[in-house]
Amino acid sequence: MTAVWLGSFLRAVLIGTVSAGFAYSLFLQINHLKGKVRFLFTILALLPLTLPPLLPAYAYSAFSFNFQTQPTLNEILYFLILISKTSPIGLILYLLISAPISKSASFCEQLLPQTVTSKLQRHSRVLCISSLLCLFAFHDYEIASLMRIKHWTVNLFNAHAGGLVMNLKSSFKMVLLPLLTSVTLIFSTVYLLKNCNGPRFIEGRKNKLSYFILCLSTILLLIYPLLTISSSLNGIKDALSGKWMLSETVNSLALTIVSTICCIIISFGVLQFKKQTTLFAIPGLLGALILGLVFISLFNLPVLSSIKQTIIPLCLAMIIYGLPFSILICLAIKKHIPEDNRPIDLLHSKNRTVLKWETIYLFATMASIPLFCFLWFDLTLSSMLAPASVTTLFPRLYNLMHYSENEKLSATISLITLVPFIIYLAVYGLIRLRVIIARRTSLK
Amino acid sequence: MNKNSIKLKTVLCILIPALLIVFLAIFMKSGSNSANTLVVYCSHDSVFADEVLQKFSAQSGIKVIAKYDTEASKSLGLTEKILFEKDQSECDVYWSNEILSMPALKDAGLLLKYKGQGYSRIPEKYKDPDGYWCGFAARLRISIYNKDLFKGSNEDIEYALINQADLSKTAIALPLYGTTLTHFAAMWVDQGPTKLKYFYTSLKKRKAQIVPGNGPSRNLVANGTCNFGWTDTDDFFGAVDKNAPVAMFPCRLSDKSTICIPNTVGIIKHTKKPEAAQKLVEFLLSEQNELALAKSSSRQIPLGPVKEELPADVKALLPFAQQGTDLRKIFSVRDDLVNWIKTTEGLK
Repeated sequence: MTAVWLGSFLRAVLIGTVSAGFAYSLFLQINHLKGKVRFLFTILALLPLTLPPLLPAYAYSAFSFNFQTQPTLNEILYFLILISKTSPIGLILYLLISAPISKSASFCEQLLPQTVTSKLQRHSRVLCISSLLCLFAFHDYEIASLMRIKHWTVNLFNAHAGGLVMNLKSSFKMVLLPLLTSVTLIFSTVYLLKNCNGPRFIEGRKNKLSYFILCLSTILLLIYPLLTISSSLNGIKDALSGKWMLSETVNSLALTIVSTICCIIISFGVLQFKKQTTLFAIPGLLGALILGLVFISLFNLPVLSSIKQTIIPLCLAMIIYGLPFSILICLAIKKHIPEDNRPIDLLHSKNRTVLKWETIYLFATMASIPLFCFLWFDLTLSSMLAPASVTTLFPRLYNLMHYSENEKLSATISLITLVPFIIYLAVYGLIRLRVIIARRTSLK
Repeated sequence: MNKNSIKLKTVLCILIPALLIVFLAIFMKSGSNSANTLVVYCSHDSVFADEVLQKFSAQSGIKVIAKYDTEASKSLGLTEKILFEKDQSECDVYWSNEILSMPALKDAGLLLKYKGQGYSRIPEKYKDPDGYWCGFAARLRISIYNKDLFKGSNEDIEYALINQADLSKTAIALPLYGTTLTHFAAMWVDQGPTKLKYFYTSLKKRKAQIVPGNGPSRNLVANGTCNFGWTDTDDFFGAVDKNAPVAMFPCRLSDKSTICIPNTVGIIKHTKKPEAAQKLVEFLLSEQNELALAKSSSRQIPLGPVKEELPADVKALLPFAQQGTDLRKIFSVRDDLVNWIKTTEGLK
């Protein structure tokens, strides 16, 4: 177990480092581009965020068997897939913790005497993003499992077969090393994020590598997986009209929206406890399996058993699971938005509204996309904690994959992928509308 | 920021999420407590089980809420969930897609005895003598092979599995779960633990592909990555329906018996709706249901007598099913086998 943990950690460090570099490259190119091309490039670069991890996992499960005799090639393929999956998260973070401070201000900053601390602060951004991406790679389960990669999460699942579940103590013992690793990673991410010197200007520049990264992630995460499942489009209509599709989509959506909102509200609350912030993230770092087991034990207690058959245990577990990620996002949002609101407050109330909607609210909404997707794609907690009467989309998706029901699978995947887009486009549209109305009112 | 403002913010940060969760719970209120609703835990694939349960609902007027198993929760499968929840499980009826889970539930005192009409039509070796659970609609363990890559006989596969130096073109699921676990348990009883341990260790040494499930095992053979492998008949027919160049032989033990693994059903002891649960059990064990499952794309083999003509594929399997070994003798070795596999795989 220790050897597998060490291997997983080293792999994750490598993935985190390379992904952070790739994300930076994408970020530079986005800053360089303008207008519609910039918009399209950004959408394509962020697209992998909205794709369920099960999609590449399923697509490459068969493909990776071609590398049975060459496990190194399988490792390389997994490495590339994980990099393509984590780079967009890094990009989001670059977008969040960078701001259009003027070029001259940035130049002035460089003229200041450079101390070790200031040098560390200058690089803390990239270290912080690497550390977070490393955490993501370390917690991957679906792709590693289906590609038969030796990973601690896969071992943990297999070790629970045949009744170990009855013994939570053994589960905790198994998860101790990974938990310590995750806690170290999140502590370092939060420390670095707190110490990076605020939003800074990064000048965009043409970056050929970014096109290579974009092509790589589009082919690996979009084109090939979609080709694998879209053997026929005939069944999509039937699948979409299936009774389960609508109810399970509504269930999943309601659960994810509530969990995302709760995560963000709680995270902002948690950020008030400045030094203890990270402590609140620790339970979420146990991982979905252990968290699920803890919740099952907890809600089996006579005091709580009356609410066991409701959605409450699942919703609470999802909030705790999303909290580490959510705290980091809220910390980044706080970094982006100046604490001193006096310049905004000095404005006429109507202009103030426009500005607040255009900057703070729109920004916060867009920043929550990765969190929404993270919770939307959850499979383990839903499988373990959802009451029988509330079925969510992902357990169904797994069943369809098992029997290669490609038509229904295509429909479900399309829906799952489209939902975050539709939701956020709708929210974006509403906020824009609010801004337009506020602007018109302020002109009168 | 003063202390009062911080306190207010903290209270709001707890209160708003709490209210949202309560609203969500009301919105998704469970209907499983209703007298006319049965909660069924089902480890059979939803693709097939949905249709069966809907048919039952239409016939009986009893609403069925099904909770399905997934690969992701295989570690905490439905059996484990029922064992863990004990008398607080919301499950009324458990429909398992294999046989090893029911004895564990029976031993834990979580099943209700019931011998109805359906029970009496199923052969002795596929049911509990006391009536705590009963099998129906089975599938066989088979050696699947790629017709383009392998031209030999069943004996050739058996010989290769024991003697061939390089098995990198052979696929077998990890025998920790499902029907592969049952298959290995049957071999454990048949050959003895020493021989089976040597066999499995040797499979690994000779680089056999130990894959996460029967589906991947089938896929590897169907797409030509492997020449042959072990899987179940329902997975095999999945490949046949997709026109993959595959054929099969039934796996046999040393006494030439086959491994025929039934679905099983049992009523959970603490159910508050025993009558409705019995109706569902009767429906699942009925000739009508066995026939429907035989006609489905999974081609399950009926265990009880069926008057109507069976599909040709299933008819061809019937003689093999009749040669099925009595799986009740393998129940006691399950835990020893699982523990040994875990140790071998470095999972302990």
